[in-house]
Amino acid sequence: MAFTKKVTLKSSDGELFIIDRAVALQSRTIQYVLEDTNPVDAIIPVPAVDARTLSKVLEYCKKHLIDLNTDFEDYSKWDKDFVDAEVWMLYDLIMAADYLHIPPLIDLICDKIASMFKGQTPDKIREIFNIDNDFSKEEEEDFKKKSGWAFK
Amino acid sequence: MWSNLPFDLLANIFSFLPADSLALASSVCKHWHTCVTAYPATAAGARNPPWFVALPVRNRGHTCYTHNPIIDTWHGLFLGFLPHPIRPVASIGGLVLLRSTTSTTLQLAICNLFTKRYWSLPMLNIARTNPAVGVVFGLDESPDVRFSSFRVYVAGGMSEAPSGGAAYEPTLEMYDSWHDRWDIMGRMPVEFAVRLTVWSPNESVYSGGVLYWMTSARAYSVMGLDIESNSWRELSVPMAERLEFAALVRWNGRPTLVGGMCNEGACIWELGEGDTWGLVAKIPIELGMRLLGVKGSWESTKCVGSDGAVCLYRDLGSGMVVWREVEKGRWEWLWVEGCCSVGGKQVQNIPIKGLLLHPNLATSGFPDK
Repeated sequence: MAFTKKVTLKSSDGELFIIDRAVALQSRTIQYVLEDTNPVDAIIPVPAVDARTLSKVLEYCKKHLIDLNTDFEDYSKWDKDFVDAEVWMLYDLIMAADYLHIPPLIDLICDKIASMFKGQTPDKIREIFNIDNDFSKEEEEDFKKKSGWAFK
Repeated sequence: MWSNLPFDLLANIFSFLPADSLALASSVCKHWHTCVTAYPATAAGARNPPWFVALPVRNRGHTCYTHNPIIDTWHGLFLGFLPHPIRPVASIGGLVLLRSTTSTTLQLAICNLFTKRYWSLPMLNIARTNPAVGVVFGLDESPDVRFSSFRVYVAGGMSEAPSGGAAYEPTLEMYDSWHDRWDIMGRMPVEFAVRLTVWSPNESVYSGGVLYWMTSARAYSVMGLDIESNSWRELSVPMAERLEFAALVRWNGRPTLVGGMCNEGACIWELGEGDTWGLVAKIPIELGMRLLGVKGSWESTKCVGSDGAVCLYRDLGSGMVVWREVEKGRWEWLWVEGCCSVGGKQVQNIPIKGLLLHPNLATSGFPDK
């Protein structure tokens, strides 16, 4: 075969993913690599993303390539299920989507994360996302004064 | 992990939040706080509908109230940071244009109700009372008011005559936020200066290079100022003789008239090509009746609009009829309860002026002096 439309990606933990070139092109990072070097049979390393996360990202890319013609309702339902994941998984996903530069996936995950702390207190948000409170007592008091309107 | 997420990703997440949730998120950790207060992309709300802000007409109680349209809740915002009594004029992105009520001549200022910051604009070149004030904003399409310039136009009003006494002031002045100064743009026909000199100024609408104002007295008409050519024209208003209340708002990018008729409903007309008005919607009868209550008259109704919503209201506690864009191109009518309590505390009903704005929690940036 003179020209293959397949591309091989290699995750940080060494797993190979052979996918359609069109699927890979949804990642602008990979698009640049392909434009620059056009490595027909070469393997493109994705050093920042592990296999578990990469397979999930590729699942998104495949879905959004094949089903371009399905109506809006179907699409948003699938997206909603896709990001119905544990907090740690969302973190891996957003870092991967950022590294691979897939803007619609980034927005989808950001919207999901935002929805998780909409209307929550700072304490609750820290608990959900496992964040340490690095403010002094004085600083916290100052917030309560300044943003008191938002506290219930 | 989450506490040191790159700023651009964090800002993207925050851009999905309504302002109250954003204010709470900013007190989670130092990294998030820096992102909210310093990162331009978090200027809240581009992805959310605008918030209704109810400012007391007479600066009583030193509190204003704001409605979060996402979770349908009211908040109180303390106005104690304002150095003197004010009246709201218009919203500019996430900011509010105010005028001081300590002097009768026009003195304008800008404030951010959410971050409690206040800036006076310089004095006008010609001291005047009760001119029309118009705002041109968002020309450079930046979602962030801090990097987006605005202009304020002041037309007409009364000034001191050389012979003593007061005379109509047939000139136009413009404030440009980049240069932070007022320039006299030229003269205007005296009859327009007369019609625009008002005691209860209406908000302006900017569309297609023209600033529009509605006269504050019946029979209503609309004045248009073509900014480029500094030329004026007057437009008639549909049903002008029969309107009990009328307001000019910007809707769908066009000047749009909201008006209520005696013993009848209220309608919305859009100004189309060739200065003709086209009916675009009627306020559902049951919502109109709920707003008017037993009075049955539109007379004390007020209206504010932006590209994302149109709100008809009366006073703080009486509730609002809202026409809102729920998704691209799809508009829905709904009822929003008035503000009778905040955080369990009862709130006294007061006369208000409503503004629609996208809350901005960023504390740095324009206009920083």
